Amino acid sequence: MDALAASCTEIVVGGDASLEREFQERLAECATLAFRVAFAILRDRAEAEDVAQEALLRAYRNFHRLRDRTRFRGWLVRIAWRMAMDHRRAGKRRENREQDVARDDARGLTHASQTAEEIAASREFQGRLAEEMKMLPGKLRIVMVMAGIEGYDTREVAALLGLPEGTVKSRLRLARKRLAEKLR
Amino acid sequence: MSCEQYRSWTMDAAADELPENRRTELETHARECPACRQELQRVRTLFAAINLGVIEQTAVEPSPRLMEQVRQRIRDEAPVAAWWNARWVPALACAAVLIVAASVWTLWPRTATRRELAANSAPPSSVQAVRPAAVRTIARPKITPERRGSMVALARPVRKPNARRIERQSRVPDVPEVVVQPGQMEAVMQFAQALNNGQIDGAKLLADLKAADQPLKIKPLETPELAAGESTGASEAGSTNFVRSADSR
Repeated sequence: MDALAASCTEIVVGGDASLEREFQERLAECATLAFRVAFAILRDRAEAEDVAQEALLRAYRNFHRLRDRTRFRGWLVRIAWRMAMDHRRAGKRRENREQDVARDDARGLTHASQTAEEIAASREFQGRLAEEMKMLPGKLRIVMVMAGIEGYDTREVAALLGLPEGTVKSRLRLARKRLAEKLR
Repeated sequence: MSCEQYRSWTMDAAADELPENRRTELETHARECPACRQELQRVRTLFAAINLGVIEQTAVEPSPRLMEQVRQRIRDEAPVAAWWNARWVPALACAAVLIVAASVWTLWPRTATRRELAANSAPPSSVQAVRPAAVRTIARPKITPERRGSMVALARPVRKPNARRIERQSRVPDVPEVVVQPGQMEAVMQFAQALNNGQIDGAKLLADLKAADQPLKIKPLETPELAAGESTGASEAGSTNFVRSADSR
C-alpha cells in the first residue's frame, strides 16, 4: 500500500522522483514555519494546525509549478498567511472569544521596575499585544510576525517576503512604534 | 525646552527614528532629569518587551501529529490528484476535441448557403436583383435566438466536393452532346429528325465525311498529243509543259 501511495505521490508532483524527495525534505523543514505563521494570526493551536495542514497540502499540489525552488519558504509563508487570514475572517466565534480575553486586560501594563522579560512573560501583556497586532495593517503585521519568527533578521525577512531590506526595516520600526503607542 | 517636549521624543528615540542631534539632546537631558530618564527607560523597556513578546508569540511548536496528518492526507488524495495532474490528460482531451470536430465537419449534411437558397427558390429577375439590397438597407429583421440558430445553419460553408462526387459528376452521359452555334438550333433539329426518320443515311454520311478527311489526290491533266506540223510556239510551250510534268512525275 505504501509503495502504491508513493508511486501515486510521485505522479502528483509531476512524475519526478527527485521533485518528490525535494518536497518531502522541505515539508519536514517548513511545516513549523507554516504553523507559526498561522498561529500568529489565529492564536489558536488547533485552528493554526488545520490551516498549516491545508497550506502544506496546497503547496504540495502546486510544487511543480514553483520555478525557483529557493523561494519555497517565502511562497509557503504567503500561502499560510492568506489562508489564515481567510480562516480568521470566516471564524466569528473565535473573534468573540478573543475579545472576552482582551476585555479582562487592564491598561498600565508596564512599570518602571519591571524588566522587558517580565513584561513579555505576563499573560496580560501577551493578550494586549496579540490584540494590537491584530489591528496593525497587513503589510506591517506580516513583517512583524516574520521578524519574530526569524529572530529579527531583517535580511532573511526581506528574502522571505520578497521585499527590499530597507523597506522591511522601516516597516518594522513603524510597526513597533504603533504597538508601543497602544501599549504604553 | 520643557520636559513634556522631551518626553514626546522618547517614542521616536526608542524606535530609532529620532535625528542624531535630538537624540543626544534627549540623553543629555535624561541624565539630569530623573522623571524623563525613567520615562525614556520605560519606553525602551516596552520596545524590548514587544520584541520579546512577538518572538514568544511566534515561537510555538506544532504538535508531532501535524506532519503525520499532512503525509497521510497527501497519501489519501494522491490517486485522485494523480489522475487529474497526469500529463497525458490535457493531450487526451485535445485529441478528443479534435476528433469530434473533424467528425462533425465530415459527416454534417451539406447545407446550402442563403445565397444558394435564394438562387434556387426563384429565377433571378431584374426586380429580385434589386430587392435584397433594398430590404437590407430599409428593414433589417430583428434577430431572435431561434432565428440566429437558423442563420448559423444557413451560413455554414458548403462542404467541399469529395473524390466520389467528382467522379459521379464527370461520368460521360449516354446521349451525345452537340455544340450548337447561335441561330442554328432549328437546322440542327431538322437534321436530327431526318437522321431519325431515315431520310439521311447516317452510315454513308459518316463514310463520306471520313473520305473527305483523306488528302486529295491530284491527277495529271491528260491531253492528246498534237501533230508535229501543227505545233506552234504556244503549243510547243504547252507540250514542253506536259513533258516536264511527265518528267516530274
